[in-house]
Amino acid sequence: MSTTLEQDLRAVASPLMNSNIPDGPLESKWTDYKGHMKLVNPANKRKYTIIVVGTGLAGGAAAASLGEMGYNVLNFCIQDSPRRAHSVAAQGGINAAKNYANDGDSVYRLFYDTIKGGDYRAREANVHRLAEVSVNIIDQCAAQGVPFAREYGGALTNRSFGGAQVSRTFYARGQTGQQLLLGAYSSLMRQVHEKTVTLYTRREMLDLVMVDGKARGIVVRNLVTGKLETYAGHAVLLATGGYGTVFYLSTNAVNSNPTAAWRCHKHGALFANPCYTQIHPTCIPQEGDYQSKLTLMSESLRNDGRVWVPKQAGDKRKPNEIPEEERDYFLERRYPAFGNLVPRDIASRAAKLECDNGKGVGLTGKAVYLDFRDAIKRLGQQVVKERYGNLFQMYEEITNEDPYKVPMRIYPASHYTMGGLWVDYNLMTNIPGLFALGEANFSDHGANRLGASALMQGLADGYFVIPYTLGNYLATKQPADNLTTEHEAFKAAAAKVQEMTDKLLSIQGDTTPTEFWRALGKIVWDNVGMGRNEAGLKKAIEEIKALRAEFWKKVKVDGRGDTLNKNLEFAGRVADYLELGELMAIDALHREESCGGHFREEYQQDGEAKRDDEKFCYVAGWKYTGDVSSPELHKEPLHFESIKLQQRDYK
Amino acid sequence: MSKEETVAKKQGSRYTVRVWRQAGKDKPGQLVDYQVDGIIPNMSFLEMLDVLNEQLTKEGKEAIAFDSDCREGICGMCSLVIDGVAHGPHSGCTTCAVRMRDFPSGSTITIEPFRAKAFPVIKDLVVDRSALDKIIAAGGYVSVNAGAAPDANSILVGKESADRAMDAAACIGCGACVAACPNASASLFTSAKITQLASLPQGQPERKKRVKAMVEEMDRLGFGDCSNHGECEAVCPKEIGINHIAQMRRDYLMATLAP
Amino acid sequence: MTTFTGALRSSLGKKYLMGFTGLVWVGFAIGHLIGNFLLFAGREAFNGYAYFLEHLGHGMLIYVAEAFLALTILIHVANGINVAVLDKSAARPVGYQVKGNARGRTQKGLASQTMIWTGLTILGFLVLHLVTFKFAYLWEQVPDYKFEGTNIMTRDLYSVVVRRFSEGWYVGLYTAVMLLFGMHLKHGVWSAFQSLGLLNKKTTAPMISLAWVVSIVLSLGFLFLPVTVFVMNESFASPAGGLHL
Repeated sequence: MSTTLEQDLRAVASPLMNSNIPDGPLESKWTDYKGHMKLVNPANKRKYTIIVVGTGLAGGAAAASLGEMGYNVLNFCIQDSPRRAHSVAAQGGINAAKNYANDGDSVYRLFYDTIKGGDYRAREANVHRLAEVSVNIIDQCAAQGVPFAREYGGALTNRSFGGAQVSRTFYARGQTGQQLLLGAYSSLMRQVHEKTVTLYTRREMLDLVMVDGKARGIVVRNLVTGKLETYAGHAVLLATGGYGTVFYLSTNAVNSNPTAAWRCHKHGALFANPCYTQIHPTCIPQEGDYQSKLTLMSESLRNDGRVWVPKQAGDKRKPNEIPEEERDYFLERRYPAFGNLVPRDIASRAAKLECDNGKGVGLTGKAVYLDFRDAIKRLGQQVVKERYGNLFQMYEEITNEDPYKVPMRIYPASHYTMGGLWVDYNLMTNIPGLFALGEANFSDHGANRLGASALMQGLADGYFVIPYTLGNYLATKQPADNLTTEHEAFKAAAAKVQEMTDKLLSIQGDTTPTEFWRALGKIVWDNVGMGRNEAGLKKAIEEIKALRAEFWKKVKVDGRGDTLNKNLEFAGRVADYLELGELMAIDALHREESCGGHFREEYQQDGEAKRDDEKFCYVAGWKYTGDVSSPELHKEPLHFESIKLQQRDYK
Repeated sequence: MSKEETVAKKQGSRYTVRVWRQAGKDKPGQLVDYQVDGIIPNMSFLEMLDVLNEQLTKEGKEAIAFDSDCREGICGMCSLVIDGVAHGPHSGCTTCAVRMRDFPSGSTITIEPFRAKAFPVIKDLVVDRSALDKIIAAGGYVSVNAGAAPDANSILVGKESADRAMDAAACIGCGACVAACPNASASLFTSAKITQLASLPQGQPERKKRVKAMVEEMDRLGFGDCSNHGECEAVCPKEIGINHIAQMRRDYLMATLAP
Repeated sequence: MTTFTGALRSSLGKKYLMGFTGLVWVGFAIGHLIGNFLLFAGREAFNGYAYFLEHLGHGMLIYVAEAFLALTILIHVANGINVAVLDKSAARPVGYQVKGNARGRTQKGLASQTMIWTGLTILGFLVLHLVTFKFAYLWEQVPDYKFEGTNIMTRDLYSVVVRRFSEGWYVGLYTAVMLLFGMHLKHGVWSAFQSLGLLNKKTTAPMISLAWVVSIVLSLGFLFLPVTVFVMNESFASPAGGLHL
């Protein structure tokens, strides 16, 4: 059953949202489940064609693993090479419950930290599985030749990260995401060489093709020729990342976009918790309107850097001229136990609060200091350079300031989206045969993701979950039939996409897609960003509606559809952002509580987020009804058996 | 135009940008001059092109096609040869990280695509670098299936070896080494992957097979010969050294002398 | 399975051959230079050295050495043309309109980019050199020389050298070519070690410096001789020869 916004908000399980969590004790669910899954006969695997969209950690790992198993894999990416997927930009590290540091880590502790970090809005069973397979990920990556940081004796070394009191983060200088991605990419290219995986680069997925109620193919635009192409398969795996680019300015890449997921949503796939977005605290502050993106610096910087603002509002002195007693190390003051290492949402809001109170620094007043003076004194410049050299260099290149001499200026920026397509325990959406992996799904991070957990989830889904659950689906629900793109559903889907392309090209108004995107980003950042309230959200919904109407009247897309046309690509994505942005606001409005990255100003206690477990301990899954402004709300109640719900406390 | 934008345009600098325009693969191309205003020193080079493209779109002209993605110097998608130098005048960074403060106000900047037979132009400044993927597919990996790995700490790797591997692994596959090489050789790219894996115990079993396969694939794809100009190392955004090329030559020699 | 000879045809193989043959000739040049300095010791010493070389191993060894040198230079030249002209244009059919050099640690410069031209000039000079010295007896009168206190007669190569070096145009040409030779070595010497895979992160920079030293020593060393002979011609042209101050 479903309810609308106005109706009773009590959590009632929707039949569309059967989580399919296996029975049994939490610790052995995954092992038992794996042991009883149906398998596809090795000889039959090559008869199955699997479409994998995306080549990041989740997509690349999935395509490589499925290729190794013998499936016929078609792998698509938007860039010119699979190695460019935005997973490449993750810097800090990847968590795993190896306990190599002998500091009391365990699968349970990683599971507990992740649930708590997610503010008790994630599914226990999924998170436990994630913590379990985390250890296999490190093994797999080390075997691939990923050059993790090592001790002199040759063993792997760890660092600590926000939201945890143990050292469980593995890293490769400041380029962990890149190195893990190159590991997955190398496995993928090995399968391309073995011809189990066929690679399609410079393709953007623009629609899902459904046959008999199942996901059976996709429509992509060949970004070089502009031609629409269709591909058929027995299952479609989306590993297309999150929707952070709705904010326009974010730490995402310029090509990162949620179009693939959104078009699936319009086929009936539930979009879960769109209001859970993560604002990362350590980004380089914005300087002007021209800016195309914000650059993130790994939060590992908070291991040794101290965050502060002047005690006196409006203090315009240079940072090094402000004496120690006139500095407010506000994170250490407010959270003595975790200090500078509180989770991202808390650190971000604390910085915003200081800036709102007029204590912000820099030209815009929208920045706080991240200071390495004490670390350099304690460790020496050389050690600091070894740990963060590339980040310091990047900071200097962008700002023209030397962070060894003056404190960095940082400000939060949109970074990651915890929400995404709703999936069950098998990572399958409510559309049979359509799976979502990595950031594209909603499942493991609840309302807030801990640092170094995105890489973990992407690889867990790709290497160790989907190879099992996909097999189970195929063996039980999907025969290896001979469906081809000759089927009329493919032609109809392509025609629908062509119609939209033609429309975008024909409007010829006076405003570029980027201008609309920028305008939308401002509305969403101001009202559905770090702090949200009822009035602002209602205003945002109206403004987005108006902007969307204007878009379809005034957008100007130059050039033709039959060639490489960045403007046309952007236009299609902006059309989707203008819809998804509204859904984010609708979801944020309906969730009358504060949790994780979703901070409703009406629901707080002493400046801290106040959850309402009575009313909102559920996953909100939104179903498209044909009208973007009135989606249908479905609920999956969250049950906590191993962990007692409590207010998060990092003090 | 908002008030802020008007102010920014007044404050910023003007540049003449000469850009290679080419409608498509195998079509004729030429350098075309454009004026762009309102460029401020901290703008990135690609943001300057964004501004120019917005301007062109408004004028009803076709925007300049160029590749970019992460815009923080790690994905390797951006390319461009700026005034004859791959990734522009600033050493140790990609085009997306180059700032306009590196160009004197009022100057003329020439932008050409990466040039090599193995990198055909797709449109304007966009080239096809899939040849680099093919070199990796030929052997740039450790053949280990998911699930088959032993405990990570059962393979000990000395810090020096791990650091050496990481130095090489930092390659972002942008292809600037090829673009900058007077001979359009892909030696730096290929050797970086070869030495990364040759520095680690995990890479030993396939070491000889790998170096042969990758070198031969590199040759087959039409990259040129390396003449030790070292220009590749100088433009490499990750400052990967030509010492890796020497290592590749050693390994290839050993692999063919003692197969 | 690639064999060693197959590997020599690869892009890396060309480098091995280039580096190896280059080093052979650098070795030869060093020996040649040392031999040349006997000119300072006088007619007897220089002709004696020539006689010694011609009769090594019953007069066979010189042919072996010459054949080896001829073969290596043939490989060096053929490979060089192949790499610098044919392969280069094949690998980049459309060039850049604006040419630039990156800042920092590049080795790309006049020397590295003109290897083919300095090389071909040196080759041309080498031919001239052989014609005017080694094979001078074929087209001009070369006097005989009798070693002191013996009855052994030989060609007076010393007089050929001194006569040549008393001609201004020849000395001028020689000097110019030796400067180009220095340029060729400046890039060639370290490059040979790099091509053979003998360098690493620590040794590259010292080898580049060493290449500078070798190129200066060889180029100035070879220059020194004709210039001195030209200036101090009287001393060298005397019956005993050599340099008397």
